Amino acid sequence: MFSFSQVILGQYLPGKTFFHRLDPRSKILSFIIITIGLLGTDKLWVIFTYLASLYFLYYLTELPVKYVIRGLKPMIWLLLITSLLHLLFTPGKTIMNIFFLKITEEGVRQAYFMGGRLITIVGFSLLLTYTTSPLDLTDGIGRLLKPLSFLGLPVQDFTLMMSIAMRFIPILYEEADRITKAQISRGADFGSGNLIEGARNFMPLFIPLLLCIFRRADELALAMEIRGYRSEGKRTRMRELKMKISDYFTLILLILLTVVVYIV
Amino acid sequence: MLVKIKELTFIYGEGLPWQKKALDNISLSINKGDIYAIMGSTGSGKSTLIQHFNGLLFPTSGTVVVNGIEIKSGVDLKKLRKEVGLVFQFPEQQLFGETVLEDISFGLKKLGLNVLENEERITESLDLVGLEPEKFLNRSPLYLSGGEKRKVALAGVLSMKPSILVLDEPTAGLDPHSRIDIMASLLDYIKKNEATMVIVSNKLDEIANCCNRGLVLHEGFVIFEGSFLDLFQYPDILFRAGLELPFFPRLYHRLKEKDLKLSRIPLTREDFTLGVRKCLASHRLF
Repeated sequence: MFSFSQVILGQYLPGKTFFHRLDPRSKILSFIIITIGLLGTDKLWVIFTYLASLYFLYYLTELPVKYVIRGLKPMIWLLLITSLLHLLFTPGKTIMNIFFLKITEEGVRQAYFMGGRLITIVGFSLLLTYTTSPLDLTDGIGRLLKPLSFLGLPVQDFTLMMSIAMRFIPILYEEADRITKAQISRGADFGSGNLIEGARNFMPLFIPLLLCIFRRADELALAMEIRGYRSEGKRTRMRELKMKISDYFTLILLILLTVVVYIV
Repeated sequence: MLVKIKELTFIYGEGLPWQKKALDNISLSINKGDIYAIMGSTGSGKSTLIQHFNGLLFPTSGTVVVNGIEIKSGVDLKKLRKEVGLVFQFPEQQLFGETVLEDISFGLKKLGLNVLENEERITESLDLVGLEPEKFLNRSPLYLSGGEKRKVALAGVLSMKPSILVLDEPTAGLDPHSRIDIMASLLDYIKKNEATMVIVSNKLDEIANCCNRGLVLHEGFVIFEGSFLDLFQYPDILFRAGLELPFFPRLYHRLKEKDLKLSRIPLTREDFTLGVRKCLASHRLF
C-alpha cells in the first residue's frame, strides 16, 4: 500500500557526536570539498577510500545502519539508471553486443565509476542532513551566501524562504499521509494503471494537498505580518554561529586530502 | 462479533530511532448495531486505533478482525473498505471534485453501481445530511460554508452505505447548530441502515446520549472499557485521561456531595429532571 510514512530522505537525528557539534558552515563546505574530490578522481581505489571513510564516519556518528539503508533506498533507481546509461552509451572498445547495443570496456568502467561516485555523494549528503538540524542547515547556507547580499541579491529573504520550506516538509508529509489514507478509505487506488491513468488517480491527493499548501501559506503570511515581519531591514539572530578549532581543522584536512587526490 | 481486537500493539517507525509506541495491548469487541465511543485526549492513540479498522495500518502485534476478515498484509482490503466507512478529522479538507456531484460520486464509482443507482444514492445521502440536492449538486464544494463542506464530505462516505461507520471527531471545529445537525444525520443513517458506528471524540457531552459503550485511551493504554453509566460513576478515570464529565453526570456528583443521591446517573435533561423529582419526593420535599 502506498504510504508517505515509508518515505525517509535526509531526516535529522539529534545527537551529541563530533559531527553533530561541527558548525553547519564547515559541514556544508566539507561536503562541497568532498564532492569536488570525488568528481576529480579517475581512480577506483580513491572512490573506495572515500566509501570506506564514509562507512567509518557513519560508525562514528552512531547512526543505525537500518535507518541509513532506508534513506538510500529512494536513490537506487537513479543510481541504476545513471549506471545503465553510461554502460550502454559510452563509445570505446566493444566487449559485448546485445542486439543493437554495444557494451564497451570504457562503458563498464564509467558505469561503476558513476555508480560509486553517486552512492558516495548521496552517502555524504545524508550524513550532512542526519547530523544537522534543518534550522542549522539553512542558517549555515544563509551565512555562506551572505557575501552575495553586497551584490544586491536578497539573501535574507532566500534564507527565510528556505527555512520555512524546510520547517513545513514534515507537516506536509503528515498532511499528504492523512489525505492519502482518507481517499484510500473512499476507494482511491494510488499507484495503479498506466502512466496517464496513474497520474489521474493522484488528483484526489494533489488537489486537496495544493489547497492545503495555499491555506497554510496564507495563514503563515498573515501571522508573520501581524508580528511585524518586513522584508527590508537588518536582522539580528537569536543564535550566532561560531567556527571552532575543530571546524578549521576539518576543513584544512579535507582540502589537503582533495589536493592529494588531484595530484596522484 | 463485528469487530474483535485482541492485544493490539502498534509502534510507529518500528526499528527507527524515533519509534513510538502508540497503542499498547488494546483489546475490545464491538457488536452489530453498537454505537461505540473511543475517548481520550490528544495524542492518546484514538486516531491510530481506528486506522486499524479498515486496514490503513497493520498491527505490530496482536490481532484485528473486522467483519470476519483479519487485518494483515496480503488480505484483500478493498472488499473490507467498502463495508467500513472511515471519516477522518476535518474531512472537508479532502474535497477535490469540481462539483458536489463529482465529489460524492468518487467513492460510488468504485462500487460498480449503475447510473440510476448512483443518482439515487447521491440524492439520498445529501438528503440525509440535510442539504437540498437541487441546490447543491452542481455547486463547487470549495465555495460552501465550513458546515456545508463537512456535510458534503460526510455524504460522500454515507453514499457508499458502509455497514460500519467510523468517525474521527466528526463535529470538531463546527458551530453548535452544525454539530447538532451532523450528529442527528449520523444517528439517522445508523437507524435507517442498521449500521454500527464507532465515534472518536473527547466531547463527552455530545456523545453521552447516543453511545452505549466505549473505551478510554490514555497514552496508548486502555484505562476503561464498558458502559457509559459505569464510566460516569468514576470521574477520576476521565480526569486521568484529560477529559471532563458531561454536564448532567457532573451535576449528579455535585448533588451527591450535598447528600442528594439520585437513583441513577442522568445522561439527558429528562433523566435528570425525573431523577431529581424522585429524589426530592423520597426526601418529602416535593
